[in-house]
Amino acid sequence: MADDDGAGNWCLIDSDPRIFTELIKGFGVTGVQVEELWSLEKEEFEKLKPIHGLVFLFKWRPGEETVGSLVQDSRQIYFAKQVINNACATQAVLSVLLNCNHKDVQLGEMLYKFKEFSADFDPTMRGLSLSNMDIIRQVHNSFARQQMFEFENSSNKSEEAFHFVAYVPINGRLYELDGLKDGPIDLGKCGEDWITAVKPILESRMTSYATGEIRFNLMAVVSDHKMKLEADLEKLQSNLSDLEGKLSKLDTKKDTEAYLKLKNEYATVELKMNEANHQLRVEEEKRLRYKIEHAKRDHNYLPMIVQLLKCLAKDGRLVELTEKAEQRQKAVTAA
Amino acid sequence: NILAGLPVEVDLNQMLDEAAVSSLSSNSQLLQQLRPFLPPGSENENTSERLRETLTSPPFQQALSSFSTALQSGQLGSMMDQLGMADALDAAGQGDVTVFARALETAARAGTLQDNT
Repeated sequence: MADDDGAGNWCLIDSDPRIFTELIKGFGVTGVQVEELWSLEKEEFEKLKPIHGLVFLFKWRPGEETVGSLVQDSRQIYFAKQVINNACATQAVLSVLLNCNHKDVQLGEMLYKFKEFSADFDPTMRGLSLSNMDIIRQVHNSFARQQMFEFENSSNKSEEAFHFVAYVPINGRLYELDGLKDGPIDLGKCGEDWITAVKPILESRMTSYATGEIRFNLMAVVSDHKMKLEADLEKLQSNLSDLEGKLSKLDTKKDTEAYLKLKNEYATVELKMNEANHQLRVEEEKRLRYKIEHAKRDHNYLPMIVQLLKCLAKDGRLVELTEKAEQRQKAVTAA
Repeated sequence: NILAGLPVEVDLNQMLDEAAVSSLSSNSQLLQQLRPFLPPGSENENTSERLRETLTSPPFQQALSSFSTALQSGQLGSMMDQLGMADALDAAGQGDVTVFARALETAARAGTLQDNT
């Protein structure tokens, strides 16, 4: 949650899947990425599987009703109380990662050690030790929104209070992990397909907001697509080689039936490889786009602005344009 | 309207409407002078496209808003020398965009605007 007092030196970060993915990488975790969900349609979830957890961002309102029951003994679950403002983004992501046992996900040395070290702590102590981890804070803060100037008395436009919570499946049950609550919230049994269980909960949460008011955002922590596709391709390639070997040993005239069967299999594997290759290219293009967006976000625009103003001044158009801007602004302000 | 006589804070993004963006991004001399300061982007796009895209992009607009606020706070005065706009020092100190714009144009006519380095 974002309060304006001090914020314990944790900056606010944007709820952008690209930033979350980088954040996770910064913690040393491998094998995961974050994707934004634009709807709760089944297909949306389907193409992201396996999904390790969901991070839900919403406008925080006091006195919201809690669905589900509070877990008293939460030792089986990694739950930490949020003791620092603004840290909720990092905390929600960590809640997913620290509870994840999927083979694709490698926590990395830093988080693994942290998890071990704080295993016997209660939620408050875990939250405190989390907020005291300098490395985690540094990584979190490196994703601050860029500010070109620091002002002495800049009017800190009060940010609305947004809050992140995590939904994760743990040992066949669905939990909501909200660092502002006293413990994990048990949302009942869920099978392997835990998305089916979480969907109605998210739906009712979203509809509780006035229609037209987009005040929430949903992100999924999923396996690293590129890594997965590359592993798939490797497997398919070895399948293909096997089939080639078998085919070469076959006497096509005698074993026509076996030959056709193998040929068929071969074609299927080839098709799968094409599809995987295509997806890999899509993923690589996306990463390139992210990289460019990142560079644009981090670019220092001051020299360009200064140059633009100088050029306009030399062309004798600057006064005219600023006057126009001023008039427009007055019209907006007066309206 | 009680606000009518009061100075308003001008966001310089207001000067970059569609017509202004079009005319800027088709001005080849301007393109040459701005090219070195554009953010990295898809290199296969031409400069005109890249300028248009930059001028309408959220990161640039945020930067320009931020510059506008800084200018009107009067706190940019001391930076003018550094930015090669020494003649606009006093004007920038007043925190008024139009005063600042006039000072820059006067300096441009006098040929005292330094090129960006």
